[in-house]
Amino acid sequence: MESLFQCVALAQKELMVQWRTRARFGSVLVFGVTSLLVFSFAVGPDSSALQAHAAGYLWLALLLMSTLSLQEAARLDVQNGALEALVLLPVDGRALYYAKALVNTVTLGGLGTLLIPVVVALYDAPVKEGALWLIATVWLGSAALVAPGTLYAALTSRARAGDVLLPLLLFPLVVPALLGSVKATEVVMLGDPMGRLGSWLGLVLAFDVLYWSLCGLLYPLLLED
Amino acid sequence: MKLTNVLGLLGVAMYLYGCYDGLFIAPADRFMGDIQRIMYVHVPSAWTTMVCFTISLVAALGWVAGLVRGKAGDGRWGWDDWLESSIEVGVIFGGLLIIQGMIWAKPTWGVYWTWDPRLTTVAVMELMFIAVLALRGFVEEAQRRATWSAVVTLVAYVNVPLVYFSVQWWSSLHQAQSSSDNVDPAMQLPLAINAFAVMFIAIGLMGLRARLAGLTRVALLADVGGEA
Amino acid sequence: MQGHWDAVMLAYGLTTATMCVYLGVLLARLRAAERPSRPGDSK
Repeated sequence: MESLFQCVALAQKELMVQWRTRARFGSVLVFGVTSLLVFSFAVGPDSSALQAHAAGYLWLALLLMSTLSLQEAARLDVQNGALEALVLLPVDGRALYYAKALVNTVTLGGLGTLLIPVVVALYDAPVKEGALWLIATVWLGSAALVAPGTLYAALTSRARAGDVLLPLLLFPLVVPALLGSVKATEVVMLGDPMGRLGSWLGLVLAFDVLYWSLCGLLYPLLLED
Repeated sequence: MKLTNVLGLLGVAMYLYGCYDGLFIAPADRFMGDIQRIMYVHVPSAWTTMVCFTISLVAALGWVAGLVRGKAGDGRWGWDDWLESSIEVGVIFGGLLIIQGMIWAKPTWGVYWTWDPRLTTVAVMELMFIAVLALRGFVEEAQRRATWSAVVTLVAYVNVPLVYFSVQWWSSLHQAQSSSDNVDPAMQLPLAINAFAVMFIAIGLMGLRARLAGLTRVALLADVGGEA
Repeated sequence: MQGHWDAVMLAYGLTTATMCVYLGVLLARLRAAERPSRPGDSK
């Protein structure tokens, strides 16, 4: 129970810190929009190709945005010695992990949701199965990126060349979640005649369950120095 | 002599015979022709890569278990030395595996790469473990490096079956090509010999590499001031 | 299908060469690490 209270308190603190640096949220969002634009230049003005792959581009943009937002969230702790202070308190490492991961999910999920209208506009993407499913997919997938991402960011924010290390560690790892999220988004956008949405979302959910538990267990090990 | 060195030397001898058998004695495959002979190094490399990364898993678990139980002293460092060596040797054989696969695939399937579950899983696995090596390269302090790479190794290893099944699902919708697994009895001998041979060689290499890791770590600590 | 011996030899050669080179590098580094300490080091 104590851990739960700690978690809530830490999450509140985390949200406050993120709110204070909300200008960065805007910049990361613009970065996401820019990425979407750049993808269309990379592919060319063939609107049918863009529409067919809009799901992929959305998730590429989310993946790129995640490295920025995750790294920054972890770096804020390291910068002011806040991490050491928390460890000395002492705080339950798992509570700290879940607090950070929750807030990171809110951030990334929010960014992703805001990108949806941009994707629909830029790529003329339909939303055949409904916006609600699209939003749900974005949030499930964001949670999947955030779970190992929060764990890894805690390392990379304290290592040399951390900015390179985070994507290097994270990107191969999230392949199953990325695969599932892209496929789910694709069927939500282009229609789901064979009823596959449940299976793909199930894959992402399985990834979420696995990594939200595992990373929470391992996070405290990283705090003992 | 150390067991790992004995195994390594035995592996070399077996490898020489296994390759000779595979190249010149075993018959050519009825359908694929001589290109199939690549299997005598390719399959052993695959098995060896998995064995190496499984040793990494055990080493990572060993280190973490030591941490959790709060054991003091230097007994634990063996785990980290083996973690470092098994990941490095695993990455090398994994790289060989991918290249051999591409050499085989081009004449056989007409393409260097295909998105079948095994190939894709190996590629993802290889990248994950290269990333662990990169992490180790950027963290100087030995204790922190050991703990961090153990944690990342655990996360990476758990991911491997997940990648395999998700890619299998994903590519089954795109009709992946599967490779023939039937092995003629005359081919089984060189295959078995080389499977053990390459594994023994890898064990020998890992033993040497672990020893190097240990020596490097001790030397580093001695330079710093003598705390071990 | 043709023999593709060149591909086969490439695969075998690369594999064998890589193992040999790695072994050589390891042995060289081990020799360097086990060398007696440089003058001036405390022991």
